[in-house]
Parts: sequence; structure tokens; C-alpha cells
Amino acid sequence: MKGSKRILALSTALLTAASAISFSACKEEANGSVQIRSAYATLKVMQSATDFTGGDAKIDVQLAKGETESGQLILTAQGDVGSFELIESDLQTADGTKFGVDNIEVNVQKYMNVRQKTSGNRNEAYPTGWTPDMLLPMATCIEYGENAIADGNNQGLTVEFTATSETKAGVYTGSFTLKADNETYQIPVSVEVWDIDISRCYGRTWLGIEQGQLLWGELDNSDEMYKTYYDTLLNEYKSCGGMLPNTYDFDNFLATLDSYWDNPNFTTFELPTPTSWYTMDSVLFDYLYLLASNSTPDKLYLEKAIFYPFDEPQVGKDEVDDRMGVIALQIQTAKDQVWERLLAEDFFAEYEGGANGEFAAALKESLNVPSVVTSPDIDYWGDTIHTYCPPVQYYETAINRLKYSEHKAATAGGETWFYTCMQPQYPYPSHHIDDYLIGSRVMRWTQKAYDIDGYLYWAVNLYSVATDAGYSAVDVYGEPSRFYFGSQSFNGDGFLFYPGKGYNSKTPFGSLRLDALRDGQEDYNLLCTYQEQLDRLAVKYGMEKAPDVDDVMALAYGNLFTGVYYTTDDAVLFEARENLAKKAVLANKADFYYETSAGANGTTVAEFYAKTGADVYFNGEKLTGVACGDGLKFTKEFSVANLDSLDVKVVCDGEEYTFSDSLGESEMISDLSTKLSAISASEGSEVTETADGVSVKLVSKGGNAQEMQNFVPRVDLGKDIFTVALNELQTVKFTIQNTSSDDRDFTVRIAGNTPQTKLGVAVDTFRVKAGETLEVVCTNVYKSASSLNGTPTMLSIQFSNVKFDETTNTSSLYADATLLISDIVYTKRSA
Amino acid sequence: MKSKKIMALVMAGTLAGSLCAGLAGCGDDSDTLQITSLEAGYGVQWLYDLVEGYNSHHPEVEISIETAPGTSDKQFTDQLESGETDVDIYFARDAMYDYMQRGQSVGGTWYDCLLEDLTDFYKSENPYDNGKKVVDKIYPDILEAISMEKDGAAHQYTVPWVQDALGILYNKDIFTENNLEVPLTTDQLLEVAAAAKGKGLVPFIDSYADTYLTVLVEDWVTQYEGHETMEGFWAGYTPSGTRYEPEVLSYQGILETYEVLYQMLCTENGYMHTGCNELTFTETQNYIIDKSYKVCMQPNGAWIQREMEANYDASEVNLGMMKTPIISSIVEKLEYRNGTEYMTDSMLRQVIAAIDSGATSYDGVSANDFARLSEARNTVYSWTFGHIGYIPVYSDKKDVAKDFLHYMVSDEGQRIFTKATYGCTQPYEFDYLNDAETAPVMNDFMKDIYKRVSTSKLESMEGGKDPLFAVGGVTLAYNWTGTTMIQAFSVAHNEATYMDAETFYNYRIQLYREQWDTICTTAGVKRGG
Repeated sequence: MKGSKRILALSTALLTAASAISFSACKEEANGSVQIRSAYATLKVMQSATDFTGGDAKIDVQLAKGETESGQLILTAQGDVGSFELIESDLQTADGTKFGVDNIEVNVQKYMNVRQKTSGNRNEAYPTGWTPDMLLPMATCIEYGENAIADGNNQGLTVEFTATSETKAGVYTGSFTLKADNETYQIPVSVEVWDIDISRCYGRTWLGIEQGQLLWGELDNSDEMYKTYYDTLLNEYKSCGGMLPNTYDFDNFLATLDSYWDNPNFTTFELPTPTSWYTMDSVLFDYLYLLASNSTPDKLYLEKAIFYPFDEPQVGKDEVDDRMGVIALQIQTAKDQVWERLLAEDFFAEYEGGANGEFAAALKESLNVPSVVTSPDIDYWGDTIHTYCPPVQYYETAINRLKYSEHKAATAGGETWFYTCMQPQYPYPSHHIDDYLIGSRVMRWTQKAYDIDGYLYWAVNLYSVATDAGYSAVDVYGEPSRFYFGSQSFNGDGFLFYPGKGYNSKTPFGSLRLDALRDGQEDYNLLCTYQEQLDRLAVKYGMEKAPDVDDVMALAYGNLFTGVYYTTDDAVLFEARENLAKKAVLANKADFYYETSAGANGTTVAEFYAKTGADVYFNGEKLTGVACGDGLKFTKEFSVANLDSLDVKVVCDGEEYTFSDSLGESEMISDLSTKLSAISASEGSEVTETADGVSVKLVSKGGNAQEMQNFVPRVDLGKDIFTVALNELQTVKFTIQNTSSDDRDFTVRIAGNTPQTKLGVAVDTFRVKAGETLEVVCTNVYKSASSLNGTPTMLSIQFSNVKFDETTNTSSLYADATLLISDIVYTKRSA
Repeated sequence: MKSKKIMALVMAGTLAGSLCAGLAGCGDDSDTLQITSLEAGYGVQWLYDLVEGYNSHHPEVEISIETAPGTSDKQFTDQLESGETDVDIYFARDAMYDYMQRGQSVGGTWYDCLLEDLTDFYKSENPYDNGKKVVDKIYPDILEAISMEKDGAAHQYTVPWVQDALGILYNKDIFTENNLEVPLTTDQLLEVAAAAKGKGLVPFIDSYADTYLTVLVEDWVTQYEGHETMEGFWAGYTPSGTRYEPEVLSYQGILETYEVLYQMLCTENGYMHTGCNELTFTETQNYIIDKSYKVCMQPNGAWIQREMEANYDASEVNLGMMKTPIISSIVEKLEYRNGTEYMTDSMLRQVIAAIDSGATSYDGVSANDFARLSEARNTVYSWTFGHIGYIPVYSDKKDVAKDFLHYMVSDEGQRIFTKATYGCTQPYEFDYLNDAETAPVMNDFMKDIYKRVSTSKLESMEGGKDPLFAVGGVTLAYNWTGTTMIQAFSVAHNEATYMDAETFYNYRIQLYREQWDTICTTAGVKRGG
């Protein structure tokens, strides 16, 4: 095929930075003013958005120590603005403690023209058009003359505040100066630093830095440039870039690893794997042995290691099946060989207990390095895959979460991970440009809730267009759509950085999406830090079991997400953050924790724990504490009927701390004995009353194949079971006991009475194993009811009619089953 | 899902040679009209002959032809997407629905669609056809199949270059010499297969690596369910009327079809040629043409005519394409009952024979049933909407390209095409059977096919426009992952992939159920509709 004319135009691409900006302001003539509004850091405002309301012109940020958090201003030009500048200044507390400008960075949001929606993305909040992404420091923006705003356009400013471990807790205030042509504005700024240090990163991350792609964007794919990206990602964005710099320099690998080991953000590094799994390659053994044999009781190098041996293995392909088996075998063989060699060398002789001691056991455990495979297909791969890393949407249902967690528990060194890339698309979380920012941040809250260990993202620096045809040059500052899967394109997939080259910067520039990823990691760190506090308090107060932060934050979780679908209400996120932080601070400073339980006669009992010497106030009333473990316990019984919230004040060591918790709604119990007429079942099935609830004889139905597949054995709880409307239900719990010999999967749905709504909208999917009892918890039920395309009339528990056995490749009708449903408890959605 | 890891260091080496940044496509600057065509079953002689014919009108236009072997269009779409091409017209085998619905940046320039919008081409007067408009000449079924709705109006981006027809080929000599009847129903098809096997013949052949059995799936499901129901299927509706649920794959017609195919493929019956796993498609074509191989039937297409003419004497070959036998279980869908019994297959054959002879009714068969069976009998599988030409939107010779396409679909162009392809036709109104130039080159085989396609409803099948199929990847006939129909049916019972028809039917539904949320999200459709 004849080639076309080609021009070495990479530099052209790099120098078309200005193409990302849509403005036509003529500086000499511009004399505009700006409307100034504030917005949550998680809200992305398009350049031409006119429906954005925003808040007062101020910056208000709250953050923990060891955290970076942003405030956002949106300037809307009223007349062409030839130049603008936001000038930061020191902030200080009332006692004069400074929050210096060195810890403040003003960034200008750069806009990209999204010309078509990401394939499959139905998010109408971000249609095609100029959408902000890249963050360019204010000074650089001015230097390159890119600080103008065309009349009517929005211009976002992201101001990042970083508190270190040494930053004193408190409220820092001051004002920044905004200049827009001849106008000057003072912007009030308030930064509250919470007294909790979340400097340390928890969990695992693997974000791919493609060394070859650096040539496209930076004209430099040297090891030094790779290290620059790696260090930037680690230090500024708290994420681990996959492979360490110079990973293949074996002789210096340990030194490189040591240079990062104590970095509080460093949690994960990838070990190299053979280029061909079918030839004996010593790389597995060499690296494992190097790290194992240099480990000490205080430093188990392999604890932070992972393998990432295969990406998205296709099922049903013999050659892939074969290769996956070889991979698993080779890795396990290498681990075994390392252990045997350590024993043969009497490596543990100098350690207490020798080969049977604690260190030996710990080192052996650390040899179970997770082998992460980006695949959701646990029913197909089973134990062939060591650590599953499915796309995030596979954690949507309870049944899937159960499968992955059971596998993890049964696998030595096993973990669970998740990833995003071109998939999924909105309404699942993503890093796509034409999508919400809040989704990728809330995703890390679900990581905590579902006990997921790691997050993977395939590439942060795709600086070319990648199609099935190969790679081609692209405007790295202006082209949002670079990754194509067949004919589908995905805005922003594969890049979160922008090259520094175009602006003569030695380091790359970040983006709103990369900030959101960092912020999500920090939210996750806050949750984990609080959990550590709770673990400590459990010991202090002699509790049988440490409180679980997931239980403490259950109400907040319910507001933030359902499955992995996230709220799009930024206020909900920041309220949850503040609530969490206050509790973490109280735990940190006053050894404070509280929990509630049902009391007699419909009351609620609250138990507060605090350090000796602390005073605890409940809704203004000072409580009396009694000794409990190494501290105090305060108890209060009350009725929620008379209260809107639970307001707590703790005075400890001269400091006063307050927080307020929504009480939520009381749990209501459905008395099934009086509601039997509201319960129905599918054709042939029967519902009878029992002492505790109802017994359902669930009958499958035969017929022709189409009839069998379309028949749904089901139990329908009519709306009259509940005293609130279905679209007001927050949580529904019930117990289901499966007395049959088959595991039964079922989906809880909200359904209606018309043919179109009879199947309904899913709430969640569960599995109750043969002979077992399951407590079913359905959250945010109202959302399913609200999205039904009709009138919701029932909460339906739906089962499969046909069983497919994948091990024997046979199908049959499920045998009749007797299921006992009881203890239906529900809450109403809070106003 | 493709692998995401990029062998980045290798790409560094390609950097210098693959840059078109800042340019609007990478068209060449010569005056030559560049045409590229896949060289597959229909060959490319027709293209050379058309160019010659066009040049007789326009000797000043330089036209260059390149052909690409193989049956994959990927090489073309790779070029299209990369912009590294100077081709002005591609003749390909891809409906290009997905490209019609989205745009892309090429060489730094954004295009709303990489295919030139040809709506005006269709509506304009064809200077080579006495002003007749293409939109008035093209078969309505095909026009509908190639149209994409945008902004409330139908747009066209492709131009079909052949009237494709697929079905079951049979070796007439073998049938005649062995007293085998051309089957009218699937029960009869299997009876014929059994009889053929008993005579030491090979009933069926197919190349499993490049199978056309999917043609029969499309045909039989459509026959059983009817066109109206299949319209619902292709719009994502389930039998119970919900939309975008995995039960869209639970239509009974799918199982009924699998039952027939199971009987065809299963090792116990031994009806399939033993070499189906190894033989290439081209090899299997020779097996059906050459009666010495004793192969009776093969799912195939009209292009085989060219294969025959090119490699065999007319006296050596005698193939026919039978009307696809009606799936026997269609009787369950009819009103007819004899007491409580369905119509027998024997009676069904009689009704079908009557339909074939031009009858408009049959004693004892209701008008509804007769219409139902007539519809089933006169449905033909066609990939015409995928055998198309298109113009890259960034071509700098679009006017000349469109003019060439106008010539191609003119009467003169159609004559040239038919003569070059030994009797194949194009989906534009033309009196092939009476034209002095085309009639003589059409043997009985091609005339039969032409009569079928010009009087039948052409079913637009796999790769439907609904995003559930076009983008979500749901298919009627085969799986995108997991065990395929061939892997399930054509192996011994103790093989790991073995499944009977009903098991495979349930397996596919289970397979899709597990992925359904992801499929819907990828397709951009809401579960439940």
C-alpha cells in the first residue's frame, strides 16, 4: 500500500498546546471582568456551561495532615478577559501559625474539545464540548500567554493545598488576589487542617507508565524520564507506577527498591516476568531469591511485590488456557525453588527459631506474592488465577463480591483487585474525560467497603493514538480520544498526565482526573487510618472485637454508593469526609468511639468511649462515665422519635471536639403473620406461614426451552409488607434459609404489574448456599424503585429456573426448593 | 478484550515513519483515483472491467487498482483510521455500521464520520442511467439495510457492489445419480443426509475454521420465528416483551435450529465430512464442485459460480442452490391441527411444494398459515449490505469516486459486472434475465439464484444496527467467547466441550447472563429498555 506523505511533526503536535484552548480574546482590547463562583473540587465545569450555579467567591478546604486537597474557583468572563491571575498568599491561624504559599499551588484548568461521547457513556451531564482536564500551573500559564478568557467562557482554577505531618491542626485563613485585566478581587480562603495524620498510603496501586510513549510526548524515553514520571506519580499522586525505575538493572535492583522502601506512599512494585513462559527463564527465581535472601524480620521485601503476568486472558481459547496454566505453574515453581534454596543455605540459622521460627514463617508467607490477572472470569479460571483483578463493575453484586472474597480467603497470599480502563463506562466509575470526577473518588470508598486490596490502571501517559492499526501522532494537549477498541473510542483512556515538554517543564503536568485519583487514595487512607485507631481502641477498652469502620460509616456509605454506582452529589462526599475525619480525630485525640444498639421498648442505646479525663456531651447533656478498660464508657438511652441528629461534644486535654451524626430512621419489622396476603409466588410455588416468617416451596417450571428460560420462580413481597412506599425504602434486610441441596442465586428486584415492569429493576444479586442461611442486606432500595419505568408494586426475590452446571456442561431444571424467609427489617429513607 | 500492555520500545522505532499530525488526512496529491478491493469469492475482474468501461467515457481519468487478499476488512479499517492511505474507494465486506455512528480524529483533524456521506449520491440523478436516481433503483430491502438514521433522517454511507445470496449448495449430478430429492424441510434434509450416507456419499461439508453454518442459523431462526418477531429480536426484545435482557437469546427458534444443526454435526450421525476441521474454505468448495469427492451439500454463497467457471469445464460441474429447507418444527407455530396433532412433515412438504409452484392457497391450510409458510419459504440470507464500497471522508477525489460509483450501478455497469462474474448480479433493478448481454452469461445456477433474491425478502441479519448487537457484541449465531456451537456439537460425548442442543442453548443464555450488565453498559443501552 502506498504510503502518504509523512512529516516529522511531533514537535508540531507538542507545540499545538494552544489548540486545546478555545478563546479569541485580543489582549490589547480586552477589558473584561469575571463572575467568580466556587465549586467542589470534584465538580467538573465545562467551558460553555451556563447552568452552573456555584457558591460564593471563596475557597474553603478541609484536609488531614499528610493530604492534598483542592478548592475550585470558576471564573466566567463578562467581556473578553485579556489576562487573569490568581495570586496566593500565606494563610494563618488566629495564633499566627502560617500555612505558607510553598504548600499552595494554583493551577489553571485547560480544556479539550470532546467531539464525541465515549462509546457506551450515557452521561448527559458531560455532552460533547470543551471539557477541562489538564492542570497547568498559573505561572506557566502566564509565561505562555494562555491566561485569557473569551467572553462568556468559564475558566476553572484548581488550588491545591498540601498539609504535611508537621502542619499544625487548625483553621488557616487569609485571602488571595484575583486580577482580571483592570479588575482586582479579593478571594477569602479558609483551610482547616484536621488533627489526624494520613501520610501513609494503604492498599495497593499499579498505574502503568509506558516508557516508549514518553518518546511521543516528551521526546525522551530515557530511564531518567521514566524515573521522573515514576517519582511524580508516587510523591505527588500517591500511586505506584507499576515497575520500579530501572527494574531490569538486576545488579542495582535492591538499591533502587531500598531508595523507595520507606516512602510512605510506596505500597506496590511489580516483579518482572519471563518474556516467554514456555522457556526456562531464570528471571522469576532471580528476583524472588534476591528479595527473599535480603529480607530481614523488619523488612520483608516481597510484602510489597506483585506479579502481573497476563492481561485480560480470553476465555475459551486453548492456547490461552495452556499459557495460563504454564504461568501459574512457573510462578509457583519459582517460589518453591527459592524456599528450598533458602533452607538449603540454612538462611534462617541466625534467626530465632531457625527455619521454624517466626521470621521463617513470615518470609515463607511473603513468598506468596500475589499474581494479579486482569480478569473477571472466576467461574472459568478458578484457581488458575491467583489474584483476580476484574473491572470495577464486577463488584456491583453481592454474589460476585462473595465469589472473589472466597477465592481470596482460600488462596495463600491472595488479594482482590479491581481496574478501570475503557470499561466500564458511566454510570460505573471511570477516568473518562466526559464523565464525573466524583465517581473515581467514591470508587476508593467502595474499595474499603468491599475489602478490595488493589487498584490497577493500565497507562497514565498514552501520548499517541492507539488503534488496532498501531500508533500515530496526536496533539497531546488537545486530543481527548486516543484509545480505540475496534471502532469504539474512549475519551481520556490511557492518559492522566500531560507532557512537560510543550511548556519546557522537567516534570509532567497532572489533570483533574489524576487529582481525583489521588484524592480517592487519600480518602481510602483516611478510612484505613481510622480503622487502625479503632483497632487500638478495642484493645484499650477491652472490646471483644474491634469496631469496623465500614459499620461506623454504613450510613455514609449508603449515601455515597450502591454496589459500585456512586452518588453524583458532591456535597454528600464532602459531608461524609468531614464526618469521617471528625471521628478519626476524636479517636486520635480523645480515644473516642461510639456505637448504638436497639434498646428495650423501641429506644436506642448509645455507648460512648473516651480517654480518662474527657467530658462527653450528648445533645447538650453532659454524661457520666464509668471505668472501662483503660478509659471511660458513657451510656445514654433515648428515643429517636424526638431527635433529628446525634450531636456529640467531647472536651479533652483542653480541646473541644464536636460532630453530628444523622440518626437515620429506625428499623421497622414487617410482621409477616399479618401480611401474608401481600406475599405471592410464581406459578406452582406456595407460600405458607411459619412461626418466624414464611416458608416458600419454590417450584421450577418446565415446558419448551423458551418457556423454561423465561419463567422466573419468584417470591413477591407486595408493597403492603412495608409501611412506607417502595420508593422510600432505604435498606431492606431479611434472612433466607435454603433447605434444598442446590446453591440458589437470586436477584432482589423492584417490580411492577405490567408486562414491561414485571421483571423489574435489580437491587442486588446474592447466593444462598445449599443448607445454609443468609442474611440479605439490600441498600438504597429506593433507587431501584425510582428507576422502574412504571409503578413499583413489589419487592421481588427472583431465582433461576434452569441450572447450568459448567463442570459437566449439563443443564436441567432446578429441583423444587423450600426456602424460609424471615426477619424482614427495613428502614425508611431519611429526608 | 485486546491486551492493554504496549511494547513501547518497539513503537519508538515506528515514530518517525507514522506521523501525520496536523494534517487533514494523508491523501496523496496525484490525479489518480485509487481503488482498493478485497479479493475474495467474487474475484476482482469485475472491477478491472468496470474501470475499463468507465475510462471509455472518461479516458482522462487515471484509475489505479490494488487488491488485497483475504476475507478480513481489518486491514482496510486500520488504514481508514490511521489516515495513512491514498485510497479513494474501498470495496470491502463489512457493513461499517459502527463507523457510521461515530467519528474520529485522523492526522490531527476531527471527522464526525470517517465515511463520506453518500446520501446525496443516492438522491442525485445518475448521468449514466438517463437521470434515474440510485435511490429509486436499489432494492428497498437493501436500501433499508445500508441506511443509518441520523438527526431524524436516513443517511447512506456505502454502495453495495454485489447481490449476495447464501444457502445450501448441492451437487445436482450426485443428487440425480443417487435419486436424492432436494429437501423441502429439515426433517427431509436429515433423511436425505441419512440416505446419502447409506449410499457411501458425504452428506455435508463445511470448513469449521471459516464456517458458513451460521447462515443456516439465521435462516432457520427467522423461518421459525417469522420476520415480525425477528424485527423485535434485532431491536433487543425478549420473547416476553422486555428489552435488553439476556433472555433475548431464549427464542424457541434458536433451540429448534440448534436441534437441526446438532443432527447435522454430531459424530454419531457422521453426516459431516471428516476433514471439516482441517480443510480451508477454498478446499471445501472444490469438494462440492467435483463430484468425485462424493460431497452432496454445503452452506455457501453465489460467488462459487466464479470458482466453477475459472477452474472447471461447464460439463464437469452441475451445482444448485436449494431454497433453504423449511425448519420442520415450524408446524408448532401454525394454527393447523389435526385433532391435537400438528401438521405432519409430509403435509408440510406438500404445502411447500405448492408454494414453490406458485399456489396462493392450499386446501385445509388457513390463509395465515399459508402466508406464514410462504414468508418462510421466500426468505433468503444475504450479506449484500456488507459487500459495499465506501469513500474515506478525507479523500481528495470524492467527486470522481462518486462518479465512478454512479457508473458502477448504471445499467451499463451492471452488465459489465454480471459478465465479469459469470452471472452474479447487483441489487439494483435491472432485467437480467432478458437483457441481451446478461442473460447469455447466466447459467441455470445463477438464474435460479437471481430469481430467488429478486422475489424474496432479504433478511438483514448478523451485525444488526441496534447497539446491543453492533456495539455490545451480542450475536444470534455464535459466541464471542466460550464454547462455540461447532465445538459443542461436533465432538464426541466425552470431549470437554460437548453439549447437546438444549444444553448449548441454555449454556449460551447463561454465558450472556453473567456478562449482561457489562454488555449493556458497553452498548450504551439500559437494561429493561
